[in-house]
Amino acid sequence: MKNKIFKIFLWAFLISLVLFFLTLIFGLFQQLKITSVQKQFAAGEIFFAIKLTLLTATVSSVIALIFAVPIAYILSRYNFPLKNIVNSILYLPIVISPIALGAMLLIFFNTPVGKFFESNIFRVVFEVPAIILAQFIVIIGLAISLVKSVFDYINPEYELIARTLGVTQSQTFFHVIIPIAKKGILSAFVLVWARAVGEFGASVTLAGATTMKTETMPIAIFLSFASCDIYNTIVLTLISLFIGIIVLYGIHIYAKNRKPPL
Amino acid sequence: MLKIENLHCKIGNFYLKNINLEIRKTEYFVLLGPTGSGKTTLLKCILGLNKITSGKIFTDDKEITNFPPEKRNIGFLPQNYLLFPNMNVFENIAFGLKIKKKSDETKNEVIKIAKLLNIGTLLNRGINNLSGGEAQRVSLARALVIKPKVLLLDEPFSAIHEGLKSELWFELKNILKTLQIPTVHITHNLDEGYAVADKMGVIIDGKLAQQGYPNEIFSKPENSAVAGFLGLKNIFEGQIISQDGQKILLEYKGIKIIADSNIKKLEIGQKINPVRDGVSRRDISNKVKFCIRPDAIKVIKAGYLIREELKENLFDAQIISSYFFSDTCIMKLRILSGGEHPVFSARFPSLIYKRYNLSDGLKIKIAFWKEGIIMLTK
Repeated sequence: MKNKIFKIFLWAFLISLVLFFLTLIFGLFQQLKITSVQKQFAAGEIFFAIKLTLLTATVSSVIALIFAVPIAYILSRYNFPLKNIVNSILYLPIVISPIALGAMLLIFFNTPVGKFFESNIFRVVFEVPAIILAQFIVIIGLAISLVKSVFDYINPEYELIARTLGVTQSQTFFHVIIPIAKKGILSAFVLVWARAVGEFGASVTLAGATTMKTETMPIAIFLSFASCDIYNTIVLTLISLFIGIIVLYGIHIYAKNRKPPL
Repeated sequence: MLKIENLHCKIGNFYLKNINLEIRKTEYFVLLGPTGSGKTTLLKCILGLNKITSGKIFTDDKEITNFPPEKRNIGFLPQNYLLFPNMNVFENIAFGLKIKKKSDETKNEVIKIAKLLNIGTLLNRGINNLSGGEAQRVSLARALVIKPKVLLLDEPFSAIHEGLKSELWFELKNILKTLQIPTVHITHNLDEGYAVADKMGVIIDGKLAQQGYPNEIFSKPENSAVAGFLGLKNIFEGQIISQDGQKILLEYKGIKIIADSNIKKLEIGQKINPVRDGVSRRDISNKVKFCIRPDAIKVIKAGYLIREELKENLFDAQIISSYFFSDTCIMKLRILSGGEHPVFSARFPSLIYKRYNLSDGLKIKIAFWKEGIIMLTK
């Protein structure tokens, strides 16, 4: 009897939260007008926002993984002086508010180094690269953390075995570790990509909210909401929800079929 | 050939101290030792995976002390085989060659070694569909295909089903003998070590406590640590009363025991050289550590004639307790003659227990075989 009550107690939490989310989504559909959907799609603005979001999220996620893989490998395999401090710095973006990160970037571009970069290399602030940089800064901590957990899960003895077979450290990394970690890294990519798609705070601070220029999906939702265009907000939110659910469901199915490395 | 000279290594608080070892071509060397004694640490030093503090390592007279692991050409079979999970059997075996050789050359080499190890039919299988024995062979094939100068096996049978182990011991040894690769096999399983070793060493607390032929080590462990690891019970400190040529008369807790001795006769007041005299803890009062092998204690059946060589160490005793294993019986016996009634452990085939109608509390006669009384150096 006690076991039954305990199970009901557990399920109550799960069911109440799922119902809460479903109520929120249902609320959106209830307020939706087909005419407003048609109007939104006809304007083309929505396509621009989707295209820009997908493009910037993909670029920033790829760059984040290019950095995250070697950094996560070092953190997973080596001990070095001040490792705890380095860890804290790398994971800062996870705990700092995205707006604060955006502000930090904006302030950086007002320093002599930042100004030099903007005038001699390429313009960042209030341009599309600002969105990519903002998304990168927000997701890099998460990317490192996710990829590190993939490497932590791989027995380091595989590397030792590979080396006894005459294979160098770099060959071992590319021929043994990366192939074993491939699926985990791919899952990490999808998760950070999803996080980049939803990124708002840092992007709006660094790139501004200019229609048809730096207007990603979250910024478009913000602009619609700020101008009291509820129907437009609902359409954009539903599209974001659709992308999110597809990605998360895909990851779930993928993770279920994924065989863990020995 | 593998040669190790004065190797020292420090890993955290653990030290390997002054390891000297020479394993000739075709020799199968077993390194025995309890868990945490430094067996795997030594193996990793040989592989170049642990940095050594001092000493030298040679393979075929070439010094490899400072070579990285990939340049040492030493094959390694890890304890849990560690087959790469992203590759099938063929790819696992071919891995070391694929990096350096052409694909057709690699294929031929893999097929050749797979045939030798009887795993030719497994080449296209995924590694999750292998039994423990098959995985061991695949891992061994992967280590052998690179034609190593030395092969190191780390507890190779630990993941094998108990009933299959003994067959595989000899099979593995025969294969490696054919290939003429000097092999170091580490294990804590005494039966396994004894069965396959040409020579063996016992490592205890980071020191190579004894090395030699298996018979030598099992019949004459040098010190109480080795004897203890080999499962020899009845390790005591007694006093030498007299020594006459090969015979030595010991006293322990009031009983007198006659033993054969390889230790030199010492005079009262003589300074002891532990190496020369084979003893180190023998002080001027002639204290000495000795061990009576549990299987060297014989139960004398009432009414039976006693063999001449047993008469020297004949005692009245009482069975305190008996424990049974699959085919052996361990008994605790209290010697009734002698002041302090010392207790000994004896091991018999279980059949003897039944045939002699033994039971706890029964008074019996027992004798010690002289060959089973071992003088220990410390």
